[in-house]
Amino acid sequence: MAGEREGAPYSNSERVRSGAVIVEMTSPLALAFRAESIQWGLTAHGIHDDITDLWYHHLDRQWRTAPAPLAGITLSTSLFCLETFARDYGMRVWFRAVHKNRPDGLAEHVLSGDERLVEQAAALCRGCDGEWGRAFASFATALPLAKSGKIQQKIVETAAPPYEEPRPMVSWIIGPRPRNQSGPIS
Amino acid sequence: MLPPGVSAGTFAGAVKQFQGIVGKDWVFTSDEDVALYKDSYSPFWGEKDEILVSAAVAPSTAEEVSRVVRVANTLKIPIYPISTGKNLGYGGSAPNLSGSVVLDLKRMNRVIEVDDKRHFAIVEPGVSYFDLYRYIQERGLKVWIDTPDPGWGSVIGNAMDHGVGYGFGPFRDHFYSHCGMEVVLPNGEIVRTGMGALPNAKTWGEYHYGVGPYVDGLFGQSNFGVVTKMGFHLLPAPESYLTGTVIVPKRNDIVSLVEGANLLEHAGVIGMPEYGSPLGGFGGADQEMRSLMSKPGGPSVADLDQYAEKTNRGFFRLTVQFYGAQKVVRAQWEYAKEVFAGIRGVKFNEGDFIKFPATQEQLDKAHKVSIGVPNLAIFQIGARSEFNPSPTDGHLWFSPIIPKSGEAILEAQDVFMKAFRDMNMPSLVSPFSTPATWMYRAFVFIMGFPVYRNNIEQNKKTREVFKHLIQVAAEHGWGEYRTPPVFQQQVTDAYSYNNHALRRLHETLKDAVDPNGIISAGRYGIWPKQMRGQKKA
Ligand SMILES: Cc1cc2nc3c(=O)[nH]c(=O)nc-3n(C[C@H](O)[C@H](O)[C@H](O)COP(=O)(O)OP(=O)(O)OC[C@H]3O[C@@H](n4cnc5c(N)ncnc54)[C@H](O)[C@@H]3O)c2cc1C
Repeated sequence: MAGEREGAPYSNSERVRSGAVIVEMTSPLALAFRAESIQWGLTAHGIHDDITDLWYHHLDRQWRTAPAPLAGITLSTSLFCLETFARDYGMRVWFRAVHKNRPDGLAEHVLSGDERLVEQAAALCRGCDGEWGRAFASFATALPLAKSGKIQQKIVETAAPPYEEPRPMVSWIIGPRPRNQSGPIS
Repeated sequence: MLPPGVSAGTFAGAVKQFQGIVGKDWVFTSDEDVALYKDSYSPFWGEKDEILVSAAVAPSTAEEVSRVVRVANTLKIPIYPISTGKNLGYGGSAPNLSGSVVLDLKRMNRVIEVDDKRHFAIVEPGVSYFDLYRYIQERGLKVWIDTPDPGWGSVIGNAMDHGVGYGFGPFRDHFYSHCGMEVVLPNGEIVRTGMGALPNAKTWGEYHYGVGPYVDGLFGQSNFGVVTKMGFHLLPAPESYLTGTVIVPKRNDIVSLVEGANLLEHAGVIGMPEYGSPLGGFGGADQEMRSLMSKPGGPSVADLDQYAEKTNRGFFRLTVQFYGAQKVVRAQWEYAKEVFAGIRGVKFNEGDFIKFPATQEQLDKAHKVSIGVPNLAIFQIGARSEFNPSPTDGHLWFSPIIPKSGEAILEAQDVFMKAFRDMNMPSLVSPFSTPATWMYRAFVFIMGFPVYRNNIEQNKKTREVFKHLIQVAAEHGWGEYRTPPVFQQQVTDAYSYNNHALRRLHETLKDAVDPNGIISAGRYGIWPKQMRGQKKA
């Protein structure tokens, strides 16, 4: 299931499966991501913005013992908390995409982070036919590793999804800092 | 970036020595790593005055801290200790002096001791409220912690900046409830205060003073040492918890309401009183309220009372919280009602009752910090929503201390509303604003000012308004209890009695304890001798 997508320029050793996915349960986009992630065999954790329980019962232990990449679609406030925590365990945000539905009927996706991830996510986004949630789930099954490389930003426009999104969502990937250093420290 | 006044060669030598002490993995010098120590809520985002860090060093023991400090002292490298570095709204993990080396104590995360018969804990700086809570829960210990809104902060770090929580009595003043410290002085010497100074001390976490002068206060909000352990008094886990609400109909009823709450609180009957107004802020205001508020000079007391009467929601609300045995809390609520019964038109509502252990449903519904459960729910208020259409990238807390009286609340409302009017700014204060009550014996008339990562002009304006409010507050005898580094000079300048005698005393102590001025230069207006003239301005 977690195979290489066609045409991806990296070998399997340069990809990693997301340990789990984090989903904002009030967002149609995030719920689409959740449904597809479960299809791909990924464990999905649902939140309602507040990350306390998720962090206290799962992530704290997991990041202490085996920090692994994690993908999510959440509100920016949840990501702020996760990102701030992640630093304490030697983790970083590898990639983020802020999604906004514009009044002109298009959706705007501002992608930033590690160059390799941004490039590939941008290609995926352009071809996703407005179904970013599904596309991002398949991405999460075989994430290109962030390589402490250059930071990049790209803006992609797509058709707006066929549902109302009450609040702007952020898709993101958090993973161990590229030098593979772990420990409870920024 | 280099620390000010330090050559590249000296700095490289220092980094090498730090690596020798803590290991290469725990010295951070790359741009990407040191950028993480910027203040996430900086009011200077994208400006040249943004405070930056030259490196970070993360020791794991007090002995390592001592060796790092000795190196810094020998080479005159400015260092800035943080515990978990989450001081958001008050400077984050950034130092006052750009180019300082952050001494990051997160790895020192051992809970040394928790005693649930004598009710205290001794912890290291990297222990967060979540960590201490987990430690207590996993062992089934019968004590509660007192936690600030975000549970990810450090028990020590929060106390060091005079942080506060939501629990019972003086426990929620976190510096006040500490008991004994271990401190690394700027020359690297390790000192213990209070009973901890006694080798084999048996009462470090219980009796504050030891014998002789009590020096602990010198290490809070200052730069005289690096704290590596601290004791804290804890609340015995209560059997149950009850809340009640008292609603009064008129604006001036706040005077009797506060008097009653003070009586109950200072006698140990209630926990933290929480004030509010059922009429809310401008956000939910109807047309009538909006036109009242836009009257030149603002609405009169009679206008407001009439409006409150019409809406039949009451003017001010007080939530009281009781902790203890079931029989006792019920009797306390009855007594509280008697205390307020003299206020004409007063209404009472009994609120939540929890017999511990709480059910999940009770926990989900509760204001968790009031029952000692750390969490991060507070950050939800920052999300974009119908009520918050333009979320910000953070905020600065303006925190003036005012007297614990209804008169002072009304005066503060009027004074600050006028200050906003004078500055032609939308007011953060209304006739319904109430203070925070974290301090046991005073109010904090707190306001959160927005900061943005992409709006330099707005941030500049915010800094101006903030400075103006510091001045206005000082003119009325109100000083801030805590403030972000950018305002620390001005805020401490206001404490100027007898030609800044207190500042001069701090400086005398600084020169004696830290003659090279290596620790937290500029913290709360205390600059090392060699920087004093240039930085004070
Ligand atoms: C939404 C929101 C709500 C908040 N609510 C509260 C609240 O309810 N109560 C409250 O108090 N605060 C609150 N804050 C402010 C802040 O987040 C907390 O106070 C937080 O606990 C402070 O960060 P910290 O514990 O990581 O301390 P740190 O950042 O580690 O320390 C704070 C400062 O103390 C000094 N210091 C720390 N450790 C040492 C040491 N070992 N030796 C010497 N000096 C040291 C340093 O100057 C440091 O910068 C809130 C902030 C936000 C954003």
